Amino acid sequence: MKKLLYPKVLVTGAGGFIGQEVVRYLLTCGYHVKAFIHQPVSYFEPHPNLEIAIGDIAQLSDISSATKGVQACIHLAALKVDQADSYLVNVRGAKNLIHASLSHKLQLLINLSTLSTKLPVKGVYGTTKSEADQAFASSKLPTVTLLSSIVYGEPAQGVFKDLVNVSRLPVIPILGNGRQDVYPLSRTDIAVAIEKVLQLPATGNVTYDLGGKDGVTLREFLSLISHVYHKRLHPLFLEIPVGMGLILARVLEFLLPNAGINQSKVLGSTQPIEIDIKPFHQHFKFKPGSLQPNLKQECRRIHLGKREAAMYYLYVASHIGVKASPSEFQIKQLVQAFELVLGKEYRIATRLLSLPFLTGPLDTITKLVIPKCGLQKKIQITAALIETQPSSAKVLLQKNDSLRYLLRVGLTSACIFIIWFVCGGIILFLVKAEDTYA
Amino acid sequence: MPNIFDVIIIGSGAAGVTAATPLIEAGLSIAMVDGGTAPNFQQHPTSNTTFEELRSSDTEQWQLFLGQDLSALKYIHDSHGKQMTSGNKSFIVKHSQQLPIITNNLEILQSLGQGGLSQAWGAVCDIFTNQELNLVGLPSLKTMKKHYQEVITQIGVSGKKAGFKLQPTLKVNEQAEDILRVTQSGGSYWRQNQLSIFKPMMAVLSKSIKKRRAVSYSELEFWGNQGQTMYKPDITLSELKSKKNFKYLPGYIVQTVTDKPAQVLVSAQGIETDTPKVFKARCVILAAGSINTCRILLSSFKAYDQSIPFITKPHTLTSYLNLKFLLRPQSRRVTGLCQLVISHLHKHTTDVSAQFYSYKSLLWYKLLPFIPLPTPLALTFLSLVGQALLVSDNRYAWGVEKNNTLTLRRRKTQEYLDLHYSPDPTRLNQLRNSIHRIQFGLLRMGIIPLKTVSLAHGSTAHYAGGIPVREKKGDELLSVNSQGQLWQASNIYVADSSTWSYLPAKPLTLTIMANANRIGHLVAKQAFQRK
Repeated sequence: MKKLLYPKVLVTGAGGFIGQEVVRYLLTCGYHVKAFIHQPVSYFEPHPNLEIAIGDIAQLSDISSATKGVQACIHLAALKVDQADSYLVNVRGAKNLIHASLSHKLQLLINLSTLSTKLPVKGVYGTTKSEADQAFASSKLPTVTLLSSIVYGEPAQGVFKDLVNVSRLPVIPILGNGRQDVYPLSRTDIAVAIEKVLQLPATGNVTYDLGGKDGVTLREFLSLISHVYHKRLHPLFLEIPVGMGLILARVLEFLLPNAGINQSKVLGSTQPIEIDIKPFHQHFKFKPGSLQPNLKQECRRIHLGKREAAMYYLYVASHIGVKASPSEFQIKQLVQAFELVLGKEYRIATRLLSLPFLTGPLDTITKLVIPKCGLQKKIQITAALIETQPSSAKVLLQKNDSLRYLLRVGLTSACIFIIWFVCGGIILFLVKAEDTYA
Repeated sequence: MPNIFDVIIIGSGAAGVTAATPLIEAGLSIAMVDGGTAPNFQQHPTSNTTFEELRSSDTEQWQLFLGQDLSALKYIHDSHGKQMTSGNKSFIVKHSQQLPIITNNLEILQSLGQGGLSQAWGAVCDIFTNQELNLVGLPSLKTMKKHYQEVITQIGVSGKKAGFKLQPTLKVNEQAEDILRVTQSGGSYWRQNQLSIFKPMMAVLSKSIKKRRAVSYSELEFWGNQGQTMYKPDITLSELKSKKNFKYLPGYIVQTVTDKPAQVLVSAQGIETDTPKVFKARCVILAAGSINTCRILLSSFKAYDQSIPFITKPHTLTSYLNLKFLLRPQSRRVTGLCQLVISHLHKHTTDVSAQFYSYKSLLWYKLLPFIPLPTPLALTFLSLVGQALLVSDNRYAWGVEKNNTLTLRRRKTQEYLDLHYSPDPTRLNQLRNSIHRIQFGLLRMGIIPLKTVSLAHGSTAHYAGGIPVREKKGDELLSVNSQGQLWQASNIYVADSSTWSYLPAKPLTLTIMANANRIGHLVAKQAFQRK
């Protein structure tokens, strides 16, 4: 086995879309990985070289104890939505990390940033990230800052998930003219790229643009997704002027804070940016795969069973306040558990998959009418796995003694129950397809 | 390894390790042939923390609760899963393929692990009355008393019992204290109905013994067993392993024992290797647990298709909601172990015993199927009323019945056990009435019984019968004398509950251990005389 330059590495934001992949890849490369996560959730399969540190990057003490004993740090923690605490995580977090790294004499910092920092007009995400990048660039610590283009992979998350969803529409709305270049990079490739940086000794503070092998325009990328994911050859596009997009984003942000669209995204997808991906590829001998075959491969990874598992997870977790989307490991675990318990009779409820909001009504009605059906079993297994997540302890071990609290929760639950019960009854009356309860 | 051991003990459960102790002290050379597989639930790195700390910070806790291969989930939809007090059922039942059984409606728990079934016990102890010992077929309390005391001192039992020296009683939670206080001040209902309410005797330390630390009961979590406060047979096993004259031989399933004039041959099958192996000893003590002791002996005598008695206890669970504690702040440090016992006395024998558990240090998911609300709302509901919830584990005394049998059968070369159990419904109803009386008594105190769930027969893991104690050799297929010595083969002793003809509703492990201790002493004495 080759000798590693930095045997022990800290990964901040390890629970994220890219983080989970980076941790997995580094472990296979033989690194000892310390995963810094915010939510106490089991993101990873247990591994002897994996250490979990739970904390908040905005708290200096948390990040300081995490940096102890590591030689390098990969900084992936960031908030991608225009939320009030974007500044706290993206800027304060970065400054905390620099401070902690200096005091524990780290030899290398890899800072994953975004090409949005190059935009002439930036949103909150771009502004906070570029402020963080400046802090890294001016620190006394050898830092490699990577400005990444769009990252794709399954299960789709973030910008890529929005693109997949949008490309499903009969007419695909596109902000601006959609002619600016992007260099989409697969999630596996970004993990490889980061590991490549760890192979070379650090030389001062440098910044690279990071992208995939093939450059395409946003419009081309969308039609490719639409082709690969939804089997559509000639999608129709509708160009939305930037100004109108911004107004729309403002309104949506006000109404639905977690809506898919926000100012940063509008700004990010409408302004052209100068990108030069070659220096990184040459310096680190990085050879990412081609876009189209990679995207097809990712699409093939979509697994109906996994989507079903995620649906039950979201349903059970949503009402007890656990982190919304399950980690890949949790989904894998759920699929494994379903197969283990249900054995041969394990069927995927395909109809429910396209109408996930029916899970509640169906759960309510089957619990009373068909308590031993597959749906009930699956939901109970999901509940067991969610309950053994530390994040659920906050709610399930909660001690609220006030009568007012009891009444409030009781009344809300009663309303939900009645609605679901009525809906479930109607469904049961209308549909007699057993497939639905599988 | 000596060619021939003085004594071979089969099984490392509560009976096996207790029988071994006096023999080791007598200086005999002992071998213990055992399945000895490691549990699927390995000692969790953070199990020294309390339930609450573990629940809120450990991202790998699922391994502890569900097993590394998630196999505990297999049992959430059947009867084993309904048992709420122990999480490691998976480690027990996974051996069913190696020890095949067919039954009509039983769910049998078996374990090839170190420490046997008692490794997953709830640590509740009690001492049998004279009448109960008589029904079981054991000597009177006068004889048993010193063996009880010896075991109690050895394993560390806390509680109160007239005539016995125990460690100080453990503190129970506020709900249990409250019930005790109310019933003691106005307890005429309970006295009239011959119901007694008491704090359980527990094999949990309130004073440290040797390396084992006494962790305060209110912090002791069922899952962690910090400082080995709760007794489990593997504690004795590891002590025994350090002795020179003790040899532990794990990885074998014993098939037969053959009594030759000067020695006994123990033929076993390797679990991993599948190769047969023969061990020799001057004398053998069978402590493989009632069912497997019967299996070994029936197979040794080639007694196929002949039925012998089989006993197990019927078993139900009732959940209660204690209105008084619904909105009352409570200490968060509670334990998953038994808090209170209510038992019904009938002619000096306990025929119904209900052990009460607080649900706060267990997981909710097992209760979900019983709540007629959609899952997320049911979880919310449980988190709201959880602290006021009580669960009682009701056990019924049972004796020998004609219909309840154990038979060894053979298909080609494969041997398997055929267990048949259909308890007399009139007696069952009679006993359930006692539970109703308990429920009514509690209802008067504002503790509402919510739901009673019947568990499959056999899920208590309390089994007996098969090899009854007889004063002289009768026409039974297998029987032992009062010293546990087999009438059919004089160098073979039985130290587990297969010699019992009755199962009182009380917890029985302490009595199994006291009896094993007695047999250990007897064998040691006889082996010495022979030498």
